[in-house]
Amino acid sequence: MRLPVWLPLAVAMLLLGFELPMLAIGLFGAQVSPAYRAFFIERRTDLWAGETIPTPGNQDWVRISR
Amino acid sequence: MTLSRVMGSFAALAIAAVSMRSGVYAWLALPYGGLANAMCQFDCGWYERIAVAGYGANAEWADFGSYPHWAFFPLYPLVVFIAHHLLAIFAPSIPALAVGMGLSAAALCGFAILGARYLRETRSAWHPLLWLIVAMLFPYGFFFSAVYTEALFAMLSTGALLALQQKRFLLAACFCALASATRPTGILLTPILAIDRLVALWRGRHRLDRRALLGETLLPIAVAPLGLFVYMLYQYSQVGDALAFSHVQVLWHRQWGNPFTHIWDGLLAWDFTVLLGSPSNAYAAVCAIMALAAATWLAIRRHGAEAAFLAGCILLPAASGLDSLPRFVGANPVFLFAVYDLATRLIGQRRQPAFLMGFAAVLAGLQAVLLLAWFRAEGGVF
Repeated sequence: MRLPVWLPLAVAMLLLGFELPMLAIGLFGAQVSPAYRAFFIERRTDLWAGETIPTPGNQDWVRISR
Repeated sequence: MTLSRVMGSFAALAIAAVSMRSGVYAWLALPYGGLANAMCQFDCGWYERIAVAGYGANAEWADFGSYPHWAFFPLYPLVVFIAHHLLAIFAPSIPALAVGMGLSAAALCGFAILGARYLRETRSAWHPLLWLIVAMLFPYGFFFSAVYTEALFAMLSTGALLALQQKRFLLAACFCALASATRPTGILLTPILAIDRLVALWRGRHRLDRRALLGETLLPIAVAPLGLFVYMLYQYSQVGDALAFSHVQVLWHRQWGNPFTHIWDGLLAWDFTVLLGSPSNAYAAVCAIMALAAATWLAIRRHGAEAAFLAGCILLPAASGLDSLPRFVGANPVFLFAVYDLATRLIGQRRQPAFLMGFAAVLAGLQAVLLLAWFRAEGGVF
C-alpha cells in the first residue's frame, strides 16, 4: 500500500510546528527566577555562592556550593 | 561467502571480543573493589542517579541530588532505567550500575558491527579484524564499557552515517534523533542530513513529483533533531528553561568563546607536567589538534560527512573549554575510523598476522595503562 504523497509533508510540517516554537522558547522564553537568570543565563558567577536557587514549576532547585 | 554470512561471523566475533574484554576488565578491577565500583568514576555517578531517581532535587543523593544535572542527556539513563526495572523482575537485587555496564557492552557490540558494515561500504580496503582491534583496544575505548554515553552515542552516530550512506534517509533521521537525545553533539548530525537532503531537493527541482520530493526531504530534516527538542520541552516543563542543559554548564566553568582560541591558549599553557595528577590543558589541546587533523584528512579523502561530524564534535565542546576533550576525541567513532584508515595504510604489504598482533599488543598495553589510571581516579588524561 502506498502512502499518500502529502503525508510525509504533513508530518514534517507538524514536527517543525513543534520544533521552531520550542527553539524560540529556548532562546527567548525562559520562565525562571531572577536568581536563576542572573546566575545561569547571564552568567554572573560571582553571585550566590552557598545559596539555594529555586526554579519555578516544581520542587527542583539548585544549591550553588562552589 | 556472502556479505550477510561474513557480517554474521563478524557479529559473533564482536560479541566474543566484548565478553572477553569485560572479563579482563573484571580481573584488573579486583584490587579496586570489583568492576562496577572501579569503573564508576566521575560522571558515572550522575548517570546512575538519573537512571535510578530521574531528574530533579533529591536530598538522598547529596551533590548528585542538589547540583543541576540537566547537562546529562536523558536517553542513556532512560534506557538503563527501563532495563533495570525489567531485569528486576528476574533479579531484584541487580544494581543499576551493572545494568548500565551491560547496556554499554551491548552498544559497543552494535557499534563494532555497524562500524564494520560502514567501513565495508565507504573504504576500498576492508580489514574487519583490524577494525575489531581498533574498536576494542584503542586506548580510550575503555569508556565504551563505562556507565557513560560513549558506546551508545558511537553506535547511534555510526548508524546514522551508515543509513545516510545507504540512502535510507528516514532511518538515518531516527538515528540522528536518538543521538541528539544522548549527547549535545548528537545534534551535529542534523545539519549533515539536512544539507544532503536539501541538495537532493535542489537537484530535483524540475521533477514532476516535486511535492513528493519536498515531503521526502523535509520529513527526515524534521525528525532528526526531535530527541533534543523533546528534552528541551521536558526541561521547560520542569525548570522553566528549555536550554537548561546548556546554561548549567557554567557550574563546570564552561564559558562560550572561540574554540581555536581555547585550543591555542591550552597549547601555550604547556602544562604536560601536571598530566598524571590533574587535567592538562596542553594535552587536551594536542588531542583536539589530532582530531582536527584527522577531520582534514577525512575531508581530503572525500568523507565529507565524517569530517564535518568529527570537527563539530571537537569544536563544539572546545568552544566552552578543554575539559574532557581527550575522551571526546579518543572515544569518537569517526576518529576511530580515521585510526583504522591509518592502520590499513600502515599494514600495506606487511605480513598481516605479525602486524595485527603487534598493533593489538601496543593498543592493549596503552588501554590497560589508561584503564588502571581510571580505576585510581587519576583524572589528568581524561
